[in-house]
Amino acid sequence: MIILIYLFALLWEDAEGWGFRNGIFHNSIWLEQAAGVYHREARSGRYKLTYAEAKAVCEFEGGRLATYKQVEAARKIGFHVCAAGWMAKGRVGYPIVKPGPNCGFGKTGIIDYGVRLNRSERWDAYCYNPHAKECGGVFTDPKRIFKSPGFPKEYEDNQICYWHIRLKYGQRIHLSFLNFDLEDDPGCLADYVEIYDSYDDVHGFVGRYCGDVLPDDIISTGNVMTLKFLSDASVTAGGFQIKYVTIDPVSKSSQGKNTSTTSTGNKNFLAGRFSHI
Amino acid sequence: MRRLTCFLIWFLLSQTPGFEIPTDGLPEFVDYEDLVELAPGKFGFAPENRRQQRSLSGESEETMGAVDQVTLYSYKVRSTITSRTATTIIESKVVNNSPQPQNVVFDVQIPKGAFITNFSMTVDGTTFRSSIREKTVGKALYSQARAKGKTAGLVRSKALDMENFRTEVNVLPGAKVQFELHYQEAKWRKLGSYEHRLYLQPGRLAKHLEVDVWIIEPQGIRFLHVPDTFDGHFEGVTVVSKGQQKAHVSFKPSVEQQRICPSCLETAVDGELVVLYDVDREKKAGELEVFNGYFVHFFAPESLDPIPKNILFVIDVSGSMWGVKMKQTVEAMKTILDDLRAEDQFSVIDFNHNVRTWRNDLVSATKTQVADAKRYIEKIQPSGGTNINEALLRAIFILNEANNLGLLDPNSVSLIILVSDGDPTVGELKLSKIQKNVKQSIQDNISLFSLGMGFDVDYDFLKRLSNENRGIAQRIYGNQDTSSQLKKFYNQVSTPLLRNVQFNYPHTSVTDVTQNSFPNYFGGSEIVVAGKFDPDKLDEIQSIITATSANTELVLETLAQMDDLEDFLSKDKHADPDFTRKLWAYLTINQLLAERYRSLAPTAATKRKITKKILQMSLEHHVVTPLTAMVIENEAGDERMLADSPPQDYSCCSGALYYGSRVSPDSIPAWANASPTPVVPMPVEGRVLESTPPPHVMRVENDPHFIIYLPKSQSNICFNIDSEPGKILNLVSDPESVGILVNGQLVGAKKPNNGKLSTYFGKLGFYFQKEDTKIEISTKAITMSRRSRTSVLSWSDTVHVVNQSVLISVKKGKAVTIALDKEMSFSVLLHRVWKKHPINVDFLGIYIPPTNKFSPKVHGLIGQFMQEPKIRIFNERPGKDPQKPEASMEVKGQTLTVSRGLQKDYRTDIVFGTDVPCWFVHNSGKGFIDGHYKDYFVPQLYSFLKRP
Repeated sequence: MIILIYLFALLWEDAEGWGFRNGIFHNSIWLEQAAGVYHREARSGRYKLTYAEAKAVCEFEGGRLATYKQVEAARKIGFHVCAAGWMAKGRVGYPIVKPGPNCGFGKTGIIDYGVRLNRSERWDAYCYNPHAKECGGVFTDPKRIFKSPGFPKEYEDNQICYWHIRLKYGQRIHLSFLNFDLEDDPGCLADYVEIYDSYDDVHGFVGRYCGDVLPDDIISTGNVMTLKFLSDASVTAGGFQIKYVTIDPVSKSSQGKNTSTTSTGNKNFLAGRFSHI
Repeated sequence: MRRLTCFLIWFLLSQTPGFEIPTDGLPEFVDYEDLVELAPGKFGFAPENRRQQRSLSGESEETMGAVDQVTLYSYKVRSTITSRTATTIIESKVVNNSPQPQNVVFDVQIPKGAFITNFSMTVDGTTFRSSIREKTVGKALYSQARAKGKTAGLVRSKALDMENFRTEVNVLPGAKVQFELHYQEAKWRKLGSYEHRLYLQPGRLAKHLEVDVWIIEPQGIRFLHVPDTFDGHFEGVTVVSKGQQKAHVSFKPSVEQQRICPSCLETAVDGELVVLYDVDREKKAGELEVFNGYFVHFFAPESLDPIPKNILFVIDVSGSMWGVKMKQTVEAMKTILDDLRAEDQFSVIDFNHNVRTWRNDLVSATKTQVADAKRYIEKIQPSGGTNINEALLRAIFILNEANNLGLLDPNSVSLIILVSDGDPTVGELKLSKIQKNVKQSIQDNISLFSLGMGFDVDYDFLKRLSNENRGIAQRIYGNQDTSSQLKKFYNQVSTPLLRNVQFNYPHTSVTDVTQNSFPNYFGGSEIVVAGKFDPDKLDEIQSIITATSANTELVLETLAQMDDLEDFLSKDKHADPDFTRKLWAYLTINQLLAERYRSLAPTAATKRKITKKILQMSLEHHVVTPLTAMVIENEAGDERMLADSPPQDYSCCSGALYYGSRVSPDSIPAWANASPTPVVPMPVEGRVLESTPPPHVMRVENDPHFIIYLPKSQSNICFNIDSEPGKILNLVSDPESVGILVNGQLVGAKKPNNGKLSTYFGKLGFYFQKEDTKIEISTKAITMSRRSRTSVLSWSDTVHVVNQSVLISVKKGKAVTIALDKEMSFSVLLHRVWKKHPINVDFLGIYIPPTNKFSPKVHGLIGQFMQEPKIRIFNERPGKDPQKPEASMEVKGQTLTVSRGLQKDYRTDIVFGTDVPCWFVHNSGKGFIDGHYKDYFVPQLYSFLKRP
């Protein structure tokens, strides 16, 4: 898998997917929160929660214990924790992405301790709470619609949202704007959405958008994309809805067609294309 | 990987049908002919549109094999830096020697934050020139007349600290193209030097490759260094010539030298040329340069003791820090902790979903505590979520508590350094709410700095968080050198030298001053303030800088003449006489953009106002900003290209360590005006020091001539002391009550004159025991020490420092007045002689008013006369010299023969002095002074006189 990722990184050096970057295995492969799943331990330390307490911890934060499936989905996109915790229905286990000597017996996957008969055993907890944040998040589903916070109501001042879209290797992302209304400003210095054709908000800058003209569709060059929305201290507007769908790997002939219809990637910058105002 | 992504110029092939470009023969191309056949460039990175175009034109794969016959005729980069204002011109000439049309790409990297000001291009005789237009206007023009086969654009680069300017032109066989790009930037001082980087990536051998960097710094260039950035390949090629105020770096490798190996066709020129330098600022703390209706003020004082800091490291140890990030953070933290100073206080907070502290309170950075903290950090195992909200609130609580309990040195600086790689996942998740929480609880003496680890942080959040709490944020990239990036950042803020630095320009015709109030000044950096003034109304500019140092309140006054620089600048053809205007515009536009970026504008109207100002300034000063675009068009106006600026972060003035605020430039803080003693005139009131000196004082001048004024008998008695250089004489020794000491050390003349080596006071030591303050005044500098902290003032600045009840006031190049409460004052005059004078040396004169309130036990060569001895002068008679009558003087039970003489008082006229008639006591004051003059020798500058 590592070799695969490495090859991928070489091939798609612009896309900068997670994995190898600058010759180093990029660390954020271990996401501390993925697909709404996160790990919790008691304030007093590791392995101090009974099943009932674990449940309470998750519920206190507005979520619930994650199911085995949810933890596995999170693991698939890089959720790696070396601590056994309660899952829904009294199951205990932990997600391992990269096997280590002290963790997971050299295996990857969910290290499953099975459903525990003794619910007063003390472990950590895996919670599921996809709506903990007011906006932003990591999306791995093949398609989705996401919105500015509060949409269809106006968004608030001083918002910062980051959306990371992470699809499978080989897939690409087709982004389309369904609604778009941000404070109009020359140069988009006030409220804006920025789109990056990469893993982060440094590389692969595609455009900054504001105002109320619906931006054109965008197709990624790789399997990852980053979007961010910032609003400043005054003046709000209607907000936006953005939809993405997955484009599955295509044969050679149709690839050329895609490239010619959209101008994405770092290599083909055209004059003025960074300011779609 | 970076290498792959940074070609300066790509010459790319494509077999597309040539676009029509007028060709008018090849008369100017003769000199291109003799060019050796150069290498095919690197064209592994043909842009996607090639594939696209190829498929359009239906050509086969074979076209890839076409030999690149685009030759690079010349490649020139010229930079001129005048007082930190850099202008760079990149020029390149290319010819298409192939029988096919070629796509030529001019792709240069320019530093982020630089303003592009001009671009021109000549394609086979047709010249394209640029103009800066409002963005929408530019776009409209562009859509009216797009140039065929040509594009231009500014591209946000994949590289982190630069962006690309890229033009692509289709060139017919035999045609030539010439490109020229101009950009401007300001040099920010970091860790003690300015760094000028030029990205040289011609992509192939160039017949003429010339790089020139001219540096003109009126303050003088302290050092200049060109590190080897090409692995020794160009050893001896870079030529550096450095004068006092000017320097030139030249890099002109021949075609042979450019080759990566003797027979290679690839160029070794692929990297950065870096020039590091710093200016001289030993003499002056502030440099005010005035020219053409603009002024720029550089402030980077150095000889100050660091202010102790209260520093809280808040370190994210959540699961996502696992691995290299944590290792590198731990490594960096160990060095950082070792670098803490003994007087610093610190603690460490590590947080994931829980918040832990190494110590609940701030502790002194002693060796044992630091060692313990290091052990604590080493043991950290990252896991869990990220509760930024709670961690920051805890840090603020610790600092606030310590402050409220009075545990913090009132003269200290409080810093929070947040190291995090992620967005919050636990506790308060609403970013705007966290911002609000932090802002509400943080006291306004705390600065919050954030370091965002890695690429995938919600960096904008950290930036907003820091910027609204007197700090800045920095992204820490990569993995390998994370540790050194962290350390480097820390080093920039590790040495606070001043707090509350405010720049004031009291005259009303000074306008449009850039940010002029800064919470801190850190050693190694520099604060730059600029403004406009009306040259018809003002011919000099006054500035008053107020600040708080480790041990004093500081008032620094500078006057700069309008035409001070005119002469200097006109003498150098590379000097940019426009640098003051450019720097002012650069600062103003960047600060306005940062204001917008920091989202502080409270209303739409304010935003519009700022936007209007930015736009107007961008047009006026011809720079590409987010609101403008560069339209590049041919003379006929029927072909146009467009380049506009990609949005970027203007969080803190593009590279500066500070973001400040604007305050009214004539709002001098009250304390700067409040003089503890009326004796010392303050500059604000426009009075001259000692303009009305008290007529009668005790004084010592020249090769020390003492003039003792005895108020009761209303007479002046003089005597000389002839001793040896190095000896220290006690002048005033009053160990009782307040404890006051004045000693003077003698220096000798350069050589004997008429067989006698004169001695002068070259150094004076004042010690105020109760205030625990020592002041050493030499002919070079004024050094004030209080307990372990020292400030050095220069004779080249007009400056006042207030340290509890001691006020020191330096009048540039002339005098120092020390005032203690309202009771005492001392004045010291500086006598400067011509540096090359064969005999004379610089020396000091001292004036002590008899009204000073010493204790009855006061002694010393001058001190003893504070209790006036009874004298009687009688039997005045003509002396041997008819000009010098003699008399007898009865004093202390003896009768001495004294002569009438004249001595000098220099307080009103430093050059000629005014005559003071006095009775002169011979033999080093023997009989007049208690004991022998040698009884007044003391071993150290701060030794009290031992009473017999």
